[in-house]
Amino acid sequence: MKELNRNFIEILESNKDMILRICGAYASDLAEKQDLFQEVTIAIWKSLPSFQSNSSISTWIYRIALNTCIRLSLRNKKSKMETVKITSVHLENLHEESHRQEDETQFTKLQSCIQQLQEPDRSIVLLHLEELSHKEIAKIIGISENHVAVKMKRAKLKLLNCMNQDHG
Amino acid sequence: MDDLKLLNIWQEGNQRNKVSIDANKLLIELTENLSEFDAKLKKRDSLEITVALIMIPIAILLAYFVDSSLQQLGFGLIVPYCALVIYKLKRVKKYKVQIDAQQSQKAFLTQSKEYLVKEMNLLKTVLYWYILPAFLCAALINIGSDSGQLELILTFIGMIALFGYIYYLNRKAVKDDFEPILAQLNQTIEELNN
Repeated sequence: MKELNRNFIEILESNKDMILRICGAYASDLAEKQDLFQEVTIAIWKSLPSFQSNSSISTWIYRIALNTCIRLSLRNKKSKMETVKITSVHLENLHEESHRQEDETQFTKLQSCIQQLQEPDRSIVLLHLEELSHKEIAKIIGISENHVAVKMKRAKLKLLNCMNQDHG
Repeated sequence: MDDLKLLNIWQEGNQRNKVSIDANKLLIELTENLSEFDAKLKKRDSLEITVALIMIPIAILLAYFVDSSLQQLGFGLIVPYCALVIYKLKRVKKYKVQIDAQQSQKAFLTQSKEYLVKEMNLLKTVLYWYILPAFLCAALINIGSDSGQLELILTFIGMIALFGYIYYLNRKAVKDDFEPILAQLNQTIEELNN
C-alpha cells in the first residue's frame, strides 16, 4: 500500500503540468480547471492498482485525463457535479511581467479554437500540441495510425482556419 | 500561422497556471473521504433495491393475514414485482462498473454509450416493469378492501396522479438528460469511425 501511495504521488507530481494542460482545454475558467484536475486525480488514484506496466505511463495518463474530461463535458451542465472535495490540490494563476499582451491574446484564442472543435478532433489536436507521435495518439484514441494521420490533417486545418480568422 | 507557432503558443501559454499538491494531505483525503463518498453513493444507488428487498417479506406476511382473496392476490403479486425491480436495477448497474477510464477513447465512448442506452431503456420501459405492475397490485389491494365507492374512486384518482407523475419524471429525464448525451456520443463515435 505504501509503495502504491508513493507511486501515485510520483506519477501525479511528474505529470501534473500535462494533466493541467489537458484540463485547460475542457474548462471555461480556473475553477472548472481545478475541478477537472481533481477528477482526473481521483480517476488516476482509482485506476492505479490495475495499471499494467506494459503500456507507457504517459499514454495511460493521457487516456485517463481525456476520458475523464470528456465524461464530465458530456454531463448535463445544469446538474451539479457529485464529487469529493479535495483541498490538498491548489491551482493558481501566475501573473508574470514577462507575459506579453500579444502572447496572452494568442493563447486565449488558441484555447477558444480548441474548445470549438468537436471530439475526436479536439483530443487529436491536443495530443498533437503535446508533441505525441501518430503511433502514441493512435494508442490513446483507439484508431489506426493511418486514420490518425487523416483525422489530424482535417483537425489541424479547422484549428488553423479558426486561428487565422481574426489574424491578419 | 504554422504548426511550430501553434506549438509555441500552446507550451508557453500553459505556463501561466501552477498546480501545487500537498502529497500527505492528498493521500489522506483520497483514502478517507473517497471511500466515505463511494459508500454514500453506493447506499443511495441501492436504496430502491433495499426497499424492494424489505417489501418482499412484508408482502408475504400481509398476504397471509388478510381475508380478502383480491388483497391476497395483490400482496402476493408484490413478491414477483419486487423481484423484477431488483433484477432490472441490478442488471443495469452491472454495466456501469465496467466503464473504465484507462481504455482507449473509442472503447471508453462505446462502453459509455452501451451503459447510457441500457439506462435509457430502463427509464423508457418504466411503465411496463415498474408503474403498471405496482398499479395493478395497489388496485387489487384497494378493491379488496372494505372502502366505500367514493373512497375507492378518490384513491384511484390519487394513484393515477402519482403513477402518472412518476412516468412523466422518467420521460423528462430521458428527454432532457439522456438523449442529448446519447446524440453527442453517437456523433463522436461516428466521427471516430469516419
